[in-house]
Amino acid sequence: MTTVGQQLIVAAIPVLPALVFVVLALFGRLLKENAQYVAILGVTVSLVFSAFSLYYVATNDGTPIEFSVPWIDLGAGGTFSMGIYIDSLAAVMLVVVCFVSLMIQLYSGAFMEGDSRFSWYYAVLNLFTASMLGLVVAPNFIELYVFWELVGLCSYLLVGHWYEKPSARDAAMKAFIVTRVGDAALFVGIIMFWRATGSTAFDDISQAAQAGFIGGSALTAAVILVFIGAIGKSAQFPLHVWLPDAMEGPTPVSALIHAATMVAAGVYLVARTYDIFVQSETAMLTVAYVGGFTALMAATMALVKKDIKRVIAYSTVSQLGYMMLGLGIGQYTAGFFHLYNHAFFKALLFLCAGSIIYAMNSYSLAEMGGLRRRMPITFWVMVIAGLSLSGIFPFAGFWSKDAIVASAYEEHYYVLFGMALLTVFLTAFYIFRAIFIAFTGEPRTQAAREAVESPGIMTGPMMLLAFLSIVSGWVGIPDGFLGLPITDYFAEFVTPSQFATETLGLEAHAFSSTLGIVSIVVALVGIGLAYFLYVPKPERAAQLARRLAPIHTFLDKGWYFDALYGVVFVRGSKALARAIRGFDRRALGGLVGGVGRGAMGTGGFLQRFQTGGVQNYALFIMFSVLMIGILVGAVAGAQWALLVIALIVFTTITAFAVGAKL
Amino acid sequence: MITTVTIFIPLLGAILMLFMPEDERLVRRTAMVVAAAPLLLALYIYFAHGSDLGAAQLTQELDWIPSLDIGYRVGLDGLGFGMFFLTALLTLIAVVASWDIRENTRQYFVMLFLAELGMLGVFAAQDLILFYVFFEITLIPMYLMVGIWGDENRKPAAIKFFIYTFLGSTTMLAGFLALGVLAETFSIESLNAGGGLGRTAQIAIAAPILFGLLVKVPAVPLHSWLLDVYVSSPTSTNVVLSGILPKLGTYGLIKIALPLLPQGVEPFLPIVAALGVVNIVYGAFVAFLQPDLKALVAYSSIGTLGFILLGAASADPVGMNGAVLQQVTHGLYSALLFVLVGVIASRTGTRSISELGGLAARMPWAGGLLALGALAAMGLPGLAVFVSEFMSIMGGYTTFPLAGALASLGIIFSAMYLLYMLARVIFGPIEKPAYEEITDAGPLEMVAVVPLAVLLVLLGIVPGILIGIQQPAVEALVSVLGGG
Repeated sequence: MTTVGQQLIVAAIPVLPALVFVVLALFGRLLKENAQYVAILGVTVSLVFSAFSLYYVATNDGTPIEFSVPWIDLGAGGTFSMGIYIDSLAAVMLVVVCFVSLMIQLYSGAFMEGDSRFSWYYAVLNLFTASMLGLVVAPNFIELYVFWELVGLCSYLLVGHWYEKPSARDAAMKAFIVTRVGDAALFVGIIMFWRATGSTAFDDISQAAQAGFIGGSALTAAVILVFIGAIGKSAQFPLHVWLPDAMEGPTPVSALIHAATMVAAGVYLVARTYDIFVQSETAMLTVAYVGGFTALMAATMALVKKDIKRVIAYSTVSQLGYMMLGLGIGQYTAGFFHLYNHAFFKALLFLCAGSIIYAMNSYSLAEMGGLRRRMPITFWVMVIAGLSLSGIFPFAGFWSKDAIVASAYEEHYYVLFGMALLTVFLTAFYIFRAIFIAFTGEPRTQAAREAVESPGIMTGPMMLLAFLSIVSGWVGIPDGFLGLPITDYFAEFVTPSQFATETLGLEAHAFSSTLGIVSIVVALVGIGLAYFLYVPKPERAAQLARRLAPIHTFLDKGWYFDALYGVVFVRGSKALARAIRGFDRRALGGLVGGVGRGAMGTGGFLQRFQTGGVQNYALFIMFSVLMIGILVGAVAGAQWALLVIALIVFTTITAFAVGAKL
Repeated sequence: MITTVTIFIPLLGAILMLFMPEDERLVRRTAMVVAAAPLLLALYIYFAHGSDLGAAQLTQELDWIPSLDIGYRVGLDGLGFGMFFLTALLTLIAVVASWDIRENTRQYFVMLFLAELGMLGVFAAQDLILFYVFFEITLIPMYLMVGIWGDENRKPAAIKFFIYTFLGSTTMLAGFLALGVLAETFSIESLNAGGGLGRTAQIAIAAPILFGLLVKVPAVPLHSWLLDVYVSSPTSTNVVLSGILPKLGTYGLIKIALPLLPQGVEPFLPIVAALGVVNIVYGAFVAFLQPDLKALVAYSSIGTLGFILLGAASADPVGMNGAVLQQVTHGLYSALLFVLVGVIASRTGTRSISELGGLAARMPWAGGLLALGALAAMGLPGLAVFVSEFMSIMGGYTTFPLAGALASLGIIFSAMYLLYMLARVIFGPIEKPAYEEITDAGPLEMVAVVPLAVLLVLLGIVPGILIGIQQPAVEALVSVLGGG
């Protein structure tokens, strides 16, 4: 068991950034740009403590650190608690979150320099870090939900950081509302579990479900509702529409929240509650197919985007789909392994985009070109990140992506395997398309000609992340890879529970060189095609786009999801609101409106009681009385009803008499 | 004794105000001191007796009409203490926020203190007739506050308010009389669990009482008085009007209708729960396109009050605790928003949402706190309303699964209209050049809103500080319902 000192240390992991938030929110104006140092200090300590937790869990055979305190104590009515649960899954996630957060906070110091709300930016960044860490360590659904919504709030505030811009303001609102659709589903799922099992703790619910307190279609429904929450947060189909718009936020925010951490929370939730998910086969298949479809769909959307950040945003949606696919087909370790690798290389891709934006103040690929010579560090680290994303051996992304793609084949999900492999091709193509357009050829604008490499405080974190984009996957090289004496540390450490393993009944497969080579070749073909189209003769791509204009437009419009939702939901709810408001004013307001109108004069109130409005009003009250009378009559018998009606009529008349006197 | 003292301090204050000289500053300062006294006493009660409010404590009993067993019976229990405290707090904030009362300040404070007397009395009354008397005492001062100090539409609004709530309270009185006469006592304690009445009698009595209380809340479709009244009132009146008055209705439901007539109320509970859901959804949609910021806040109240109805109707310990707590949390956020609407309107000269925009850049504190209030209203975790809402929904789902599930949709709709409001009011480009010059909330205005914001955060993080007080009383109440 953990000691009090250890408990304090692990509790400090989320609490420190929260304190930084309080300090910066209250004294930010005094600290100005010094706010970053307070923030960096806080998250560094959290990182050290997270590393401690990881070490502790790893050296104790994966025994989790866990404790909790009652939060709301309702005596016989039950208790809701707040606590900490750090197993291998949470420990890895803690380190990833703290590390990426630290990189982003270092980088932001230069990127956000001179911003009018610099200290507020850092304050919210730390509130986000605290909430994300709280989400990771949550042992029960209520605590998870609390932090789940708080990370959403921070995303809202950061996407809308430049709220003077209507596009940023609207994107922030869209992000919050779309994810809240998922949150509402998650909430109902939580209540269903609580109602059936009497608990909100993940472990208790899993046990109770095994014991049969909830099962069959009720279990499936509850699990799928929880999964809809994950769909919203992780921007999966059909709630993916908010993430591309969220690119309106500052780019370091996109790297932290919309690439490495918050959007991964949906995947993390599925992994966290895996013991519950595996009990419903339907739910698992849903996870797998939603993931697979999203991966493919988002990859096609990324093919044609002209804004560098949106290419990466769609790529994130697509990669999150991979992770869901992995979890859905029972590959717990592989799915989470991809989350871990993705956090580094995708954060790096965003920071590269940020570096370009910092240099030339534009998101548009069309205005770039030839940046390789002007920004060599950015170029090379972006190539590394791109290779990692494409899954080229031996970069980090290869190991996790290959594990997912190969498993789909080996577990006989051939449709999913086809989708995944096609996505590999598209991924390699779209990311190198962006890299080639931005960095090769001739500069297309003055800004591109004059671009200079970003300062060291930005390139430093980028190089560190580039290093990790190569090696992070090396902790998970499959056992006996190519006959070498290698141990898969990651798979040994982050294992599904014994219960999940038995329920899924999966057999371990040795690493398949054939499948590995196939996926590398497919990726290389994608890169080659991008090179062929965009480097020697860039006109080729334009010609192709013209020839395939309808498809190009369809992809560019994101399969028309925004247009569809705009009509159905945005206009629909406004029309509904208008109708209800009209009803409220005319039907209800009009009935009693007569009392209001024209009462300003000196003519006394009696006069007004002769107008039609008041008669309507009286009618309305009489009608209500009648309804109540009927109601009472139905449940209690006629005599009582008569008595009640008489009483109410009497009081109504009294009310009018008094009202008239006034 | 301390209960009686706390209730009647405002009366002394009102009398004192009558004899004050016409020195505006002196009047305001004295009013603040008077308003602070019940708050301090309530805080004292919290710390000295808070852990022991399972049944009514600090009671006092005097004979009044012995032949009918009507008495002056007061005392505090966990069901009423939260609102008792909130009444004292919001009255003080109403005094602070009375900057837009520029004429007849003394008389205004007389009215405010009389209203406070009635409200404190309601939350401490342990006798049906006394409850009714205090209930009615609030009516006249509130009517005059709206009718004299309101805006140009004040008179019709005040009359509407009067007629509706008077109708409600007399109907309620009819029920009280029937109950007391049949059971031969008006003591709330003795009447617990039906006072020996049969099911049919209970149902017949419960119906008018529920009707009266639901008008007060107000439950849709009995809400049409609310909009005109809220919109016409001065800021300071809004604080009390939205923060406390609706709770007279919900508190009556929780303190009287449910425990005294458990069998009588039972057949109506599905209707109350359904009305709660209607409030939640209807309130959100009507608020969505409101052109007037104050009207939007008013309709948001209708929605949030729906959670109280749902939680109370659930008769489940979690839901009931949620409902009792939501009475307080709703008061905190709605008072906060109404004061800030007043602050914004005083700077920009308008409450019309389409004429506002980009205020956060010029008013970071007022804008930020408006955002905080709106986030609280949409049930964001970390803020108090979340705690009471999730408990109300959970309890509601336990008893009425469909109602609970539909209420969960409310969290989408409320996010929709509140974020849409924030986007148009405080974010975006600055709407008018004149707004470049406006100043942020001043010290006095901050004094009025910061305590509310702090409590919203505090109760959001450690709700136990209030739930611990109310929980034993709620447990007792639920056991009555379970046996009923």
